[in-house]
Amino acid sequence: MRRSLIAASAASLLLLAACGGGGGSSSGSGGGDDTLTLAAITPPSSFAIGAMAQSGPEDTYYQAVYDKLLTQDADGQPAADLATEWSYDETNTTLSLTLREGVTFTDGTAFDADAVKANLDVARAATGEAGTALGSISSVEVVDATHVDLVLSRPDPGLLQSLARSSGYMASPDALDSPDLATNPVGSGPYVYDADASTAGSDYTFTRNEDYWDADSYPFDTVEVQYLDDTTAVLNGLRSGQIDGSTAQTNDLQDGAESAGLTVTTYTSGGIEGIYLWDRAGALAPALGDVRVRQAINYAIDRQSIVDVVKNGLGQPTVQVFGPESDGYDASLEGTYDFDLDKAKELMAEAGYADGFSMTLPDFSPVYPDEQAAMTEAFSSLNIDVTYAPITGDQVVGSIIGAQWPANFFTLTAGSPYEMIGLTLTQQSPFNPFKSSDPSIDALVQQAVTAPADQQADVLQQLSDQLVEQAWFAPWYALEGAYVTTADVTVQGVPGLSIPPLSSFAPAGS
Amino acid sequence: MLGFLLKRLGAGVVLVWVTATATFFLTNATGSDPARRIVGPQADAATVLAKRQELGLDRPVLERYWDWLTSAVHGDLGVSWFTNQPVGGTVADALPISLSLVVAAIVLTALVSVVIGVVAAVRGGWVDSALQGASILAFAVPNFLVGLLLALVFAVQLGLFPAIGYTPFAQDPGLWAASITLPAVALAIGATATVATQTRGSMIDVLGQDYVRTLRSRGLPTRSILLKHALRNAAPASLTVLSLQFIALISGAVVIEKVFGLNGIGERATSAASTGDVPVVLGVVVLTVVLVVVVNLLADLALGWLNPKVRTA
Repeated sequence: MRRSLIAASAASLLLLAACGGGGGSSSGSGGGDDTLTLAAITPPSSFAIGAMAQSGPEDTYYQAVYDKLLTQDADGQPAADLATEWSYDETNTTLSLTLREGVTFTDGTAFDADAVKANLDVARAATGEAGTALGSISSVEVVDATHVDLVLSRPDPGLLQSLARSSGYMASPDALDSPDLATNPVGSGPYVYDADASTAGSDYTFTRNEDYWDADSYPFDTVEVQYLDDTTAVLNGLRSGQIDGSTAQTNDLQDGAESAGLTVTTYTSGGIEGIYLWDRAGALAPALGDVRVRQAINYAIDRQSIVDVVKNGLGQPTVQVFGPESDGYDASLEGTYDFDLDKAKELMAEAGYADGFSMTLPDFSPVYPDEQAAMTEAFSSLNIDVTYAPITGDQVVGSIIGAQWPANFFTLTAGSPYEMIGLTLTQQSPFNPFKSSDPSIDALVQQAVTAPADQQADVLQQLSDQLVEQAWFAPWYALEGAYVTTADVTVQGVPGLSIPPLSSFAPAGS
Repeated sequence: MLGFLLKRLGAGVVLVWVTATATFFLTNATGSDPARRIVGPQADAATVLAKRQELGLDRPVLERYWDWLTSAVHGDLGVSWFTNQPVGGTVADALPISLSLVVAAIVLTALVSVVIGVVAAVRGGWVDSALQGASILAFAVPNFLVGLLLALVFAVQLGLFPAIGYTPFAQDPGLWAASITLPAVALAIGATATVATQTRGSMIDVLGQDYVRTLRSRGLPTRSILLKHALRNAAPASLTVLSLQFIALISGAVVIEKVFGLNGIGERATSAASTGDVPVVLGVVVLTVVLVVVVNLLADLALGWLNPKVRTA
């Protein structure tokens, strides 16, 4: 009797499963005009102010619930958001903001200058990427309800870009002190996080904020973001219509999307990929201390072939670390290091390294097999013998910053030349691990930081010229981001952002 | 029976403690730097140090172990370093997904393998050969490949089932069943082959025994002999294999969850392990070992129910 009972329950379970068929498109609820379902390759680490990642895949979650002080326009330049106007004083050490009136947070608290001060003070004290990018602010002073001054300890031309990214997100001042904010955001953004309909760490549902001041920019009533990090799962989700869009971070996904008739949108994403030559003083690899060797490495790279073969064409060959969309980019520099193995070998011989040299680099082949193969090929063409040391993903950044490698294949993403300077060129820069310094480069960095706005581009381009001439880097290409959508949805990338902003999604045909 | 149970429970507790302790010290020996990863590449050394202190990583490892252990005993598994979610909650969110998958797979395995095993044993001949051939094939094909094919045909092409995602039972039982059907089938195929082979073997042994011949000679219906007598005696061996399969299915679910975009225990374990989120890794390990202990205990109880000789052991 008992056994038949068990058998009966088991059979009914199966029956239930069989009857449940046909739910293919309804469980994901994607594809409809009023719900936008996106896949993200990571869940949000924290919604707490100052703790958020600065940009990248997590931004989709943040943009749903928070407004920023500034945002990016279609060209990637800072544009009005919660701050409608901004200006620097003559010494570039006070940034005055005029704030939007009539904005309220979803808990009913009004957005004003006090809210900005409370948020920026919390962010500056926090240890996340969004907080550490605000290091130049020494105090935030409330002028009146709609005006606030950011007093800086030094000129920081990258600050506007930071305020247009995660550093500029504003939460309700009443929620700032609550530890709950990390998982339960309270902002003034276009949507409200619906915790009941979400599973933390897996899928997140956001419903429309009915009082939002710019509702027209967000045509969807509901936004669902699903954490999916498997190419097959993402493709199947797109093909079955369960999800409307996903970043196409792998060639497999791009190829699969194209053969399935999905739409692939490309844009300059702000990342510069290539060989970063850290050891310009020759501490670990003495040869790299010779500018001719660094130039030879640049000549030994067939950039266009790498883009075509490794990146599926998604990249713009470049010799500069300032992205082609930025004002620090000097188009005339391209061509400086056109692929020329004879020239490369000549330079190696001049430097006394005709027989090459050897160095140990981190082994990225588990994640970047094709890129590493391309790098190995370039090195071996110059008789440079590379030994690859095993490394785990979580040790990569720490070991680079800790000056463990003379060079390595890498991607650095910067929203502006100033962010790239902060990352790689100063004595404090984390990605200047050997504290490289050069009088002309240092002087141009100093000049760029203090230059009036109308002269910045000129100084930055001179700096780029110096960096190329002295071969501080061996960049391959400016990355192009790719985003896949179904036929129901359109999207527009913004230069310098790795993921298109939420406001750029719209129902097809609208 | 009670003494037997208590002994098993005691052994289970020791197992959980030993595994968790080993995991704790192993994760501490990886030499990774979660603080740097959390604060990002732009942060200076002081920020990294502050984060390290915030996470308590500057304290001696034994002290941290003791804190973790005492909290864990009180049911507090800590907070994820990366997502700031309580580990208990994170694991509790993921558990229904993986359990739905694994339990459905085990039920499928049990039902299908008994039918195949009994039919193969009783019918013999070409039916037996065909079923055995199919079993070898099912055993040899990796379950993720089966998963990929099922998703492609039944979800993407035919639209009969969702291709990705999980619907909680409480939200919609029908959609819940639909969301776990394909992954459960993919997961069950290999296990079914193993258990069916075992069942077939035991059934052939039992059917050859004297008492079955006696039952036959007394004119009992074949159905009754098969289901009431032979299967009951053949079942313990299959049940043992089935309980071992359950444990194998939990690890098999890691890959299947990825293919079907299900953020279950496997997904949490792999992402926490790759980022170095030690509290989550520990939480997942503790929970998985508890699951294994419980399943073994249930299998022992079931064996006792099927075979009175076991109860006195």
